[in-house]
Amino acid sequence: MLQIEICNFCGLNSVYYNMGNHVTESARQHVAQILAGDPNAFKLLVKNHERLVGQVVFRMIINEADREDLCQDIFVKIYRNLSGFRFDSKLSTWIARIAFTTCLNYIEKKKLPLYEDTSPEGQTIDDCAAVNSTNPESWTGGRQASIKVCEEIDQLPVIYGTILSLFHLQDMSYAEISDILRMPSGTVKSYLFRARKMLKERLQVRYSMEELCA
Amino acid sequence: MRVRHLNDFEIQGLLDRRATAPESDVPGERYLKDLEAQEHLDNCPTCLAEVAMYRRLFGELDESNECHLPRNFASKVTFSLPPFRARRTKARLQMAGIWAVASMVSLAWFLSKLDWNGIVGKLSLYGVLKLTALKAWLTTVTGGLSLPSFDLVRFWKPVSNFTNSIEQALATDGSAVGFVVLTACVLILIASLDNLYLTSTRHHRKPH
Repeated sequence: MLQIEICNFCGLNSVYYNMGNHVTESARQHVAQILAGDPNAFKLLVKNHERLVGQVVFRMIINEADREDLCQDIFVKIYRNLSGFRFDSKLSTWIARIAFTTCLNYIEKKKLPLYEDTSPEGQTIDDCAAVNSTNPESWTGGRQASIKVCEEIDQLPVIYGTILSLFHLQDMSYAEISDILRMPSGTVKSYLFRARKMLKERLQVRYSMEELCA
Repeated sequence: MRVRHLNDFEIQGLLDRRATAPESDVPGERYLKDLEAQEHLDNCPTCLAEVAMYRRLFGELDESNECHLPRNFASKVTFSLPPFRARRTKARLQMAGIWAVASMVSLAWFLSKLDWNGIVGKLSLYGVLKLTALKAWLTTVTGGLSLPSFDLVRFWKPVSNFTNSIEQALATDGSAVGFVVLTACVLILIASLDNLYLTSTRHHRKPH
């Protein structure tokens, strides 16, 4: 079936040959250009996907010093494995999967928790409330609300933060996220709902209900 | 009668469906449940407040991009890869070669435009050799321990003679243009050599 979409590489509208989930003459041409050794084609690929890779890495890796290096390693891996890309998924899904797997390996190597709450020193929601009841901070005042939300997402289990980023910032469907994380769609949906509930509760505790709804 | 409020998952599901699918795409059974939920929301301020909070949260989540990679990240990554780095190095060296030749030609042109008689006439090399400081240094080196005396006026005189003669030479026809062209060529030469080995070292360092 013919379908018009925005090209992953050049950003222009291109005619895509959509066979179910499958990709695109245009993407094939661009991948071929990269494999033929065109640095500009690869640079364009990096530019178009650095946000996606960055969001996965920044959400999963707490250590700020390692984030940029890890992003670079991911793109090097992408380049090395590009000849093995069989176009059986969207290129962005394939790239996000490499980013996720690389971060996962890093986390395993560093023995960091993936599914546990990453609040400092085992801080619970009640501890958080106790700390902040003495020094309540306005939800809307001072720093931007989205920064406050980011701070709270950093406290969630890594996998929850990653799913939140992929769903809300990359507009990915449950199917795409499940393809990246290699877990069933139902699990992704359940994790997403739990993540948002947990985030809402954390924000409710940290900031007053009225400020949240303001 | 006890009212059953909407739970978190029902509210999130409702908002997700409203954000992603038009009403006609929602399956029949789900559509009816959504209608029921909407009826409940019309009469329940508690659930309505929850919905408002989730809506606000979703809005903030859509804006919560925390990823800040440097602006030149794509170039950095691309040219850290050996095949691309080699290509760029070759291209830059070719460019540098062209500008090196251009610099030589413009230098020759510039020198040909200078008033050499004026320069040689005014530049007193003999005066430089007579510098007190130099003599004192030579004395120290050859074994004498006397401290060098420094005669700034006598040291400066031959230098100022030289700069004056350059200024006068530049005033002659075409030499100023030659100087500007030479400077431009040298600057472009430096620029084409700049950043030649960008990030190439990162992937050669030892693993942790």
